[in-house]
Amino acid sequence: MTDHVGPDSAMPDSGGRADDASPQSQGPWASALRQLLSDRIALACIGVLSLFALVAAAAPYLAPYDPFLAQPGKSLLPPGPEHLFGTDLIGRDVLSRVVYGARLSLVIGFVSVGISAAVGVVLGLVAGYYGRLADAVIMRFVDMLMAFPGILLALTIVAMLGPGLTNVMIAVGIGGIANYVRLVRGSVLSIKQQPYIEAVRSVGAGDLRIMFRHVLPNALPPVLVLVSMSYGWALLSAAGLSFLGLGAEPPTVEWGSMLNDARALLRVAPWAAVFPGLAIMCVVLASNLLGESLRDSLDPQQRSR
Amino acid sequence: MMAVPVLFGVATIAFALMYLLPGDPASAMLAKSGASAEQIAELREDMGLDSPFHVQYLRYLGSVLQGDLGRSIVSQEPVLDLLLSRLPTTLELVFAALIVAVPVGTLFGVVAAVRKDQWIDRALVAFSSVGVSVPAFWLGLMLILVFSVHLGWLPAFGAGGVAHLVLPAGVLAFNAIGTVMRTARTSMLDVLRQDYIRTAWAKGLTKPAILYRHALRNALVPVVTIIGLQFGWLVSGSFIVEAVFSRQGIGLLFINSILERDFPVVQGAVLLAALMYVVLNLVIDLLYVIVDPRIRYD
Repeated sequence: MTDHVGPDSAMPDSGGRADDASPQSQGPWASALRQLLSDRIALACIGVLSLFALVAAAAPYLAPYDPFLAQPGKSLLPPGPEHLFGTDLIGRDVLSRVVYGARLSLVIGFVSVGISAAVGVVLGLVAGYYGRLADAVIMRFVDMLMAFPGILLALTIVAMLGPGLTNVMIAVGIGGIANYVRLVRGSVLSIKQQPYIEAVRSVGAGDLRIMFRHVLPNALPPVLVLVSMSYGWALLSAAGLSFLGLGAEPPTVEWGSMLNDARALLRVAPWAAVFPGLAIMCVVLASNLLGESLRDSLDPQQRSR
Repeated sequence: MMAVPVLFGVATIAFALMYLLPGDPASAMLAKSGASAEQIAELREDMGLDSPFHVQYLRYLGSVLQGDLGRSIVSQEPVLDLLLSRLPTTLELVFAALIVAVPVGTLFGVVAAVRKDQWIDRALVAFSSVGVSVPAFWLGLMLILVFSVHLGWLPAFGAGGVAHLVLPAGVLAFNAIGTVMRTARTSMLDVLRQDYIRTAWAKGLTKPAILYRHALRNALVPVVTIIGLQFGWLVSGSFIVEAVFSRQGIGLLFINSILERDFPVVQGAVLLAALMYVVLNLVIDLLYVIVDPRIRYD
């Protein structure tokens, strides 16, 4: 979808590329991509995230054991050659569970961020483009959401909808909306002042067409940064809710609920708690750092710093 | 003065929490006792649940303004008393974390800015990235593992006394230090680029005088802002930390109430947490005047 971004004139900030040596003028996306690929931290983050995605996708081939298989004779074995991450109370292989857990944990993060971004971008677009009443109503709604800091909003929504995995995704998704609305609204406010918007309007384009074809693509780069950064937050929040017993239910394999199970066994089987947490941290750290690198590469003003 | 409409909105959300619920509070209350449909209907009438939406809403707002948050379904205690009895435990934790995180985060940020691009800057930035990425519930378990299970230095569960506070406050602060540090670093870097700092160098002031008398004071304004935001994040973060360390604060009460579907308590806790956050940010706005004499509220 990124190649639908119009000609260079459509990017207000494409003039600041003094370092662009190539004779053919590249779009800002291409230049940002080049910048990103020359950033070692960004590459490492992409590597880590791809690795986890691969592990999740290939879980049945990579996991040494069935993650649900209880082996009563192998209860609470410490990490060793046979079970690299040890076993839990009922003799399930912790490594296999971490591998399978990646599936649900990564997907939960994606769905939550998808909800935040989809709703937030549309609301921000409408608020910024139409202004006046629409803006006032949407921004008061955002103020209300922002009065519930951090995970409190997600907790409140889970309280309303009831515990469960689907509700956790909805709750974390709603919890992230406010940032998207504020970000997109800000970009739209400046984009709609641009002469090319007026030009498009004078040729007779309707509001919807202008909003989605001409304003939205130019408001997207910062949204991409926020997606990367909020993915970590969403995964962390969803895992937190599962840890509290409000998300994934026992038979399901998910990192947060694995930690919840491991809690009671902390004294006898610390390994059951160590590894799911490390997995969460790696993914969250990688997506946060990738977000920062993305921000630096998409914002020409940041590059000189 | 944005606080008033926001608080009104928060009360509305808290009301909606109850109103939009699948089933209604009366059947939720009597569900366990196996009451008959007539008894439920009677309770509904007693609670005013048969009134139209707007009547219930206005009645709710009225009772909230009078400090009446209803009674817990589980313990039958007034919700307000329940919350107030748990409040000190939560505030103790949040303030302990704040007292650690703000000075340490500011110090780290200033040091990183002054030593920009040197190894200590890189190390501190890396530390702050880990700080904001590590799951609090996992860090809590790991600290319990090391300091309670293996070393036996600190208690793992419960509240009361400084020893009980060290680990949970440490977990909360660890998450917050990263954010405070980022803010302080960026802000200090901005200030160090200003003309008046160059002037100060030019007229031969000593480095400490420039950094601490001229730069730091101006760099603190955004840090004060972030304290207000951090307070909110710490309160919500404390909910999870309380669960990890079994501290009987508002957070644990809130989570148990969600699991037990004790909605008046959930409603009250939401209202209280948002109220604290909004009021604190109002206080922060007023604090600006002290930190930055250029700001005046007329």
